[in-house]
Order: sequence, then C-alpha cells, then structure tokens
Amino acid sequence: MIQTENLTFYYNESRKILEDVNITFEKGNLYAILGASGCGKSTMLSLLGGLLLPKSGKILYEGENISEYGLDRHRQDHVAFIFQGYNLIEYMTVEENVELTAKQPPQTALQKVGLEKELWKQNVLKLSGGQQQRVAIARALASDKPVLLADEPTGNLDEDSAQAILDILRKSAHEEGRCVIMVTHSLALAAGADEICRYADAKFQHGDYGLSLFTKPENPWETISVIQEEKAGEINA
Amino acid sequence: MKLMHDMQKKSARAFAYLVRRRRKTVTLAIIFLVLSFSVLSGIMIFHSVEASLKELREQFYGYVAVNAVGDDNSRITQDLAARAAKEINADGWTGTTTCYLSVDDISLIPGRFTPLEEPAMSLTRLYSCRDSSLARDFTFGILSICQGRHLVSEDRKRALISENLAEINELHIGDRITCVVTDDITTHANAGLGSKYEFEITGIYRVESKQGDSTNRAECDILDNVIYVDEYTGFDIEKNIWCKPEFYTNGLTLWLKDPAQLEKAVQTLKNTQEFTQGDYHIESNSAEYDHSAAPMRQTEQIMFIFLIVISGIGAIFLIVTLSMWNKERMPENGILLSLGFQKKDIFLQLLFENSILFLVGFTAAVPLAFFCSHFLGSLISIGKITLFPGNILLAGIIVWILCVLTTLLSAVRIMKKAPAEIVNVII
Repeated sequence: MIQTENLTFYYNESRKILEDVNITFEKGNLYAILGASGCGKSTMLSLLGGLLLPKSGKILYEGENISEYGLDRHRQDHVAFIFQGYNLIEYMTVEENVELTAKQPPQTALQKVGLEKELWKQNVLKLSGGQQQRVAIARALASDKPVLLADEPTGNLDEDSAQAILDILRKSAHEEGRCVIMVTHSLALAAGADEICRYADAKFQHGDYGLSLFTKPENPWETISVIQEEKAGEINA
Repeated sequence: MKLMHDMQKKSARAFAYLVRRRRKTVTLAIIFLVLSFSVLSGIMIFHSVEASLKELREQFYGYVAVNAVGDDNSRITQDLAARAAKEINADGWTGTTTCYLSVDDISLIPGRFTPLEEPAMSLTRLYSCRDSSLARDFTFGILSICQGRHLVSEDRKRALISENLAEINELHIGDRITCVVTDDITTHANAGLGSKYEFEITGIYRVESKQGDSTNRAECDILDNVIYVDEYTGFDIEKNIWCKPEFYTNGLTLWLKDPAQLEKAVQTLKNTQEFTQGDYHIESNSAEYDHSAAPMRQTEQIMFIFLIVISGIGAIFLIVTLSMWNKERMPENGILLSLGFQKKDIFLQLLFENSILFLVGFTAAVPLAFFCSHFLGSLISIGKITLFPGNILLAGIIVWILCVLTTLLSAVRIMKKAPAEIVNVII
C-alpha cells in the first residue's frame, strides 16, 4: 500500500537520519515502529505523511510517487495523523473537531471510539487525556483515509486508556482494512502490533542503520527481548 | 458545489473562532472600527473639500481680460468680442465701457469735492455692461444685487445704483435718474456737452467689501457712487461724446468656469488672427479663485496625507497584532496541515475571520461617521460634510483591501514555512 524505495533523509548531510530505506506497509495491518526518543521515528512518519520531502529515494502510495502526486493531496486523500499531544483544535467542540475532515458522519466515528454522547457538544479542553485521544482517533477515522499514522498515540495516557486506544487502532486495521503505522518507544504497546519495525540509531556512525522489518513474529515478546538485548549490548559497548 | 461546501466550512470555522475567542474578536473589531471611521471621515472631508472647490470654481470664474492698448485700429467691438468668446468656448462674457457724467437730480455719497462745493462733486462714473452679473466686481462678490435685477444686453436706458445712493436719495426700483454730460475733459472737443440721459432703476446693489474713509476720494471713485448702465445706452453716450463707433473702451472680460483652462485660452486668443493684427493686451486672472481655493487645497492635501498616514498606521497595527496572534495559532495551523488542509485553506480562514470583523467594524463606523459629520465639518471650517453612498463604498473598498493585505502580510510567516516545520510545532 505504502512503501519506500531507497529512502534517504537528513537535516544535516553529515548526519543522515534515514539512508536507503526500503520498506513496505500493507493495508489491514497495524505496524509499530520502535526506537529511542529522538532517533528519527517521527521523521519517518512525517515522510510517509508527506510533511517532508525525501532527500533521495521515493515514497510510493499504491505504486505512485507521492511527490509527483502532490504532498498536499497525499495528506488530503491518503493519510491521517494521530499525535501524542492529541492536537485537537482548542476552540472547537468534540463534534466540530471530528467534522474537520470527516467524510462520514462524525457521530459514527465517535461511537466507534466509544466516546459518550453527552461529551460530543463539549469543548475538547474539558475532556480527559484519554477522551481527547479518542476524539483525535475519531477524527482520523472519520476522514476515511486508508493510512493512519500514529505518533506515540498513548504516550500521555494511563495503561487502561492506552490499551483501549490500541484496541481501536487494531480494529481500524483489521476490520476496516486500514494500514496503521504507529511510532512508539513503548515495548508493551508495540507488542500489540501485527508487525514491528525497529529503528536502530545506535549504529549510526558505522553506517549500519535503517529500518528493519520483523515480519509477523510468532511471539512478539521474543522480538522485544531481542531488541532489549541489543540495546543492552549497545549500552555496554 | 464543492467550492460552496468548502467556503461554508471555512466560514463556519471562522465564526467558531470569533465567537469563542471573544477578547481577540472585540479587539480586532475595534481596530477595524477605528480604521474604518478614520478612512470614512478622511474620504468624507476630502469629498466635501472637492465639492466646495467645484462650487467655488462655479462661483469664482477665472477670466481672460482683453484690452485694446494701441490706436483706433485696435478696437474691441461686439462682433470681435463674440468671436473671441466662441473661440475659447467662454462660459460668459461682458464688455465694459466707462464714461463720466454728472448726476442731475440726485446727490452722490460725499467725497473730497462735496465740502468744496466744486462741480466734480456731482461727477460720477458710469459703467455700461452687456451683462452686469458678469462684471468683475459682481462676480467676485465685491458687489451684490440686493433688489431688482441685473442689466442684460436687451436693456435700454436702465441703470443699477448702490443701496447707499438709493437710501440718501430715497430712490426705489422703477424710479428714474438723469445724467448729464458736463465734463469737457472726458469728451472729445466738447462733443455732446449738456446732453442728458435718463435711466430707469432696475436694480440696487450692495457694496459687500468694506470701504475706507471716502472723504479723501473723489466722488467718482467711491464705489457707492458708481452707476451701472445698459450697454446700448453706454454705446450711445460713447458715440455722442467721443464720436466713435461702438466698441468696448474698458475692454472685454471672458469668463471660464475652469481656471485650469485659462492659460490655454490666452494662447488661443493670442494666436487668433484679429488679435495678432491689432495691439491687444491679453491676460488671464484667477487670483480670486486661487485666493479662495488655497486654504481648501491645503485642507485637501492634509486630508490626503491623513488618509495615507492613518491607513499606514492602521495597516502596521493590524499586521503586528495579526502576526502575534498568528504565531499563537501556529499549533492550530500545524494540526490543520497534518489533517490535509493546505496553506491556502489556512489563509482563507484567516481572511474570512478578518473580513467578518472588518464588516462588523465598518458597519459600526458608518453611522458613527454619519453622526460625526457635522462636528467634523465645523472642526475644519468646511461647512457641511455629507456622507454619500459613494464615500461608503470607497472607504469600504480601501479598508477591505487593507484587511486583505494585512492578513496576507501577517500570514507570511505561515506561508513561508514548510508544512513539516509548522507541524513540528505540535509533534
């Protein structure tokens, strides 16, 4: 559905963040991109979402280069973002926020994320963090876009709320056939993903870096332990 | 259809923002109110000054004076005068002939000869005019008709006298006065001496400008003693005492409503065959108009500068305020961009918001300007200032253009940034 071809990106040429990354994300799956804070996970999402232009290489959506398609149009037609900070428009109500890009009635999306009806007309600032994130997800779902890009979607939430959000994202991928790509540094959250991608920035200086895809691990916890061991090794080294 | 839907959504978001950010809304609406009021007032005054100048132009013509300075070959006849008027498309013209006659049955306002009881105490000046309303003293408001009517070219043996002269002699419209040729100095070889001319008074004029002490002046030089008579009789007297055919001894005055055309008219006349052949002095004079128009022109210039300055200050104030608020709204813009909105959508929403506030401020400014128009008029001594629909439209266009420009300039920060830079604010 969405893939990168030799994708390279840097802010400063001497310190490349992504180099020759080739990766494919399919619809109906929930992906988790793991990596330490500040290593460039969010940059990857920005590139996939058409907020940044690759320095070289391509990002293809359904085989079409999104640069040629138009980044604005790509964001408008293909991808929806969900952020750690919810990023709702503060002066709007729940419904108005969801309506911003809604292609289906906002009520349907709000019901999907389980937000109580009596909250719909309220200003979003009156909601709890978990409720606000549900509104943000409802907004993404209502936009009916095939790709959801979630940047630390549960970063500010307690465990129960985080689990509920993860369930919504999984349902969105599995039941509605979306491609959900979630950036997180939470191993527990990543464990709920169908596939985990690891961004190993520790080997940056040696040129051995990039995204590696762990396809459908039998037991996600094994994958996680591998990463943890690697991290421990890097720290020891 | 999609465009309408988009516009509807943008305006709904703009309304939501304005309703829920009341302090900013009120502040910006007040700025637009003050700006609109200033621009409206400026335009109102500017327009009123223009109207007053136009009125003044119609009231105070500029004129081209033609005088024969040479020998008898250079005469301004009625025919030549009419052709000259046609040549320069004059708005009106009159020729004048002057002669000095004694009044027979009335007393003049006393001058320096009355105490001496000399014959000159009865001698006065007769101006014969084709159209007395176009005589310079009447046109420039030194004299004004207060009873009766002006002299016209069809009149025969008719006269205008001054209010003071009428008063001391208890004369009224329809009464008659007699003038006699007595002065041999003002005649040719004593021709016509003793001839009497009777005039019916058709109008009484008032001397509007203050006259100084008259006791040191000859009676004939006192404005109140001047008698305006019809052209026909004037020529008759002239023929009698100078034995010459009809012509304007005192020259010709050609009036033009637009003083700007005077120089061109002078050149045209100077190049006209009749005037190149004789010896004529042709000059223009718009001094009266220029004198009266000068303070208005100054007001006009001040208002123009005021308009520019107020628009500039208003624009700077708006740009600074809007830029500050746009900076605060950067996260909102980041959210919108991440949702697939384009920068032009963000700009259009800002424009919607500011246009709504412009409409609110401007709508409030119109009645305010209307009620203040009288006060503004007396403040700058222009008189009546009126708010015309055209003024409202022009002011509306100016302030809205300012609104669009300031919105655009204040949004430069957003427009220049890459979407990712803006979205980074919220990540």
